[in-house]
Amino acid sequence: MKETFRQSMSWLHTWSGLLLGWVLFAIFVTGTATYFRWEITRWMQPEIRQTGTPYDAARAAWQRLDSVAADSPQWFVELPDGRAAATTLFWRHAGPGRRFGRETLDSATGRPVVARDTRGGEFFYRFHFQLQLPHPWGRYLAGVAAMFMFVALISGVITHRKMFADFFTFRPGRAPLRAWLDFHNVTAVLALPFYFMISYSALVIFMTMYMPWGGRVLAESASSARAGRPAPTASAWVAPADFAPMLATAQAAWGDGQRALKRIEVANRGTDKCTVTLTRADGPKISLNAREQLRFDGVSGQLLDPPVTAAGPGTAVHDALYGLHLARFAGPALRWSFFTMGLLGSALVATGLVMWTMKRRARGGAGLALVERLNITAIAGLPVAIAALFWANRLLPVDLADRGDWEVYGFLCAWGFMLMHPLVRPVMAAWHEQLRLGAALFLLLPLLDALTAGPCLRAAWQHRDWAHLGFDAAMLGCGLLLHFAANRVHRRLRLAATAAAPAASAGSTVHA
Amino acid sequence: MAVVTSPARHRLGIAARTLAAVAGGYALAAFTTTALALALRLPRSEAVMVATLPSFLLFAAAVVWAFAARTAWRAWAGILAPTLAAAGVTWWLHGGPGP
Repeated sequence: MKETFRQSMSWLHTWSGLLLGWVLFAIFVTGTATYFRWEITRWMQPEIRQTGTPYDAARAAWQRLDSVAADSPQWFVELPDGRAAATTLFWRHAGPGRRFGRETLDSATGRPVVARDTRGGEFFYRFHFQLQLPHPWGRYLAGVAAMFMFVALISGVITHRKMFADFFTFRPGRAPLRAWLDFHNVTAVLALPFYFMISYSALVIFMTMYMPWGGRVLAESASSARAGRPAPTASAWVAPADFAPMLATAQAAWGDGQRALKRIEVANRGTDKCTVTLTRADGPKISLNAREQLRFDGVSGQLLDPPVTAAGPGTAVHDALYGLHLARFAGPALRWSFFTMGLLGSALVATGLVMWTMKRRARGGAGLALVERLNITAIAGLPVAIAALFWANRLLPVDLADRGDWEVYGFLCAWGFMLMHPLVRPVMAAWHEQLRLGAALFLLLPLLDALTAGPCLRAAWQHRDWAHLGFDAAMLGCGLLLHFAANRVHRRLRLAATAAAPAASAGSTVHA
Repeated sequence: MAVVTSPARHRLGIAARTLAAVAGGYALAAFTTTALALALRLPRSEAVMVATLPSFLLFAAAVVWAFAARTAWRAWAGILAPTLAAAGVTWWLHGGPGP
């Protein structure tokens, strides 16, 4: 390749970082938002307020499912906790095929909730690994992006082996490229272990999709085991056991505190194989499989022995990586640190993308023009699109059909406009205008919240509901960040304009 | 690539290395996974885990090698040889030349 190992790694770092950089930036930003998935849902559905214990909610959910999904073979219930306010029901429809019903319950009344339809924080969670693409292509693209990131990290560390020493070098006054490089290095070093963990665990989470071959060559034993299981026959309906004693057992074991009952799953309803699994809210254990569960025989109502899992070291490592990526174990302080590292990661990708164009501006060319415009859409346009999603959440009529989908169309349309906009504007002006628009949309969001959801905001204040209030504060923070970025670009624009003025070339476009 | 190669040769070299990195690297990771899974003689799920978990690390190492090797030929050879070895082990353990 090039003369030295480090030079070839620098080349690899540049191109592996660039090719999917825009996708990676979007994945980073939406993934960072996903750390506050339930808080976002709370803000996007401000009508829902949690009252009572999860056990009250569980009783209400069971009653509701008994009336709407009595013949269903499978029920799932997600109960409210300190973070999520609503009860969510899923059930599988009776008959062939995998069709599911879904309902959100008001945990106080046990009736379907009277709240605006929205995807809430679920949108960010899904977008993070599915990118609004048809299944399974979004997951494959996200996996390729994760692999590119992992390669870019390795080659970046090799290229810049003095990076820890350079961490203490910050030269903001020097040539712009130096300052950008310093910032790129600072964001890299500050959270380097986090980036390695997050990219590798991303690959591990979907490893049966990305690298299914180990399972394929050992598949025989599994398929023979499946053949041994009797096929479900359309026999007579077996009545399930009473739920109240199971609930009492769980309440006695787990109490009403922060870590109470969180999830109910009823499998094989109507057969003599019926089981009821109650899961406790996530604790401080990293692995998601370290969940505490109570399993009951769904017909006799008897408590079953916990399943014996022969978890070897491989499974333990897999579960730990999976749990680390989702960070469900994190309390508020740790969650905010993960969030901050996510923001740093977004900045790492963004500065890398901008530096690619800065190094090549003197040369020009079609590739540069394309990358510069995609950078604007990806980095400055995405915040505008996210703000548009939140604005749509507050402005669309509450009873609009498929309202949740329309919010997403708002997001996509806004992003589409941000893709067109740099085509008709000079590069620096487009940067400035999109950053300014994003700043305005985020800064005005709390005001919009007060105007359109005033009673909910007042109630949030009275109940010290930090999810709602904190969301508004975070939006102000995002707005300020974009505002400062826009100011910086504006200064460059003015400097370039005064420098270009003496030249006085007619219709000169600023390409600073 | 040496300093005096023509632009066309240079591009061809990059294309060859990229193919070695992406296709060759994935094949190496995949066959190593299958060979390990079969060789480990662990309970099924554990064997799959232990064999698959490091595969992406191997993939990344292959990518680094593909662009670090002195020539594109060496890049290909360095990836192809262990891939064929792993494929051979997979074939052998998966039934091999017959009973």
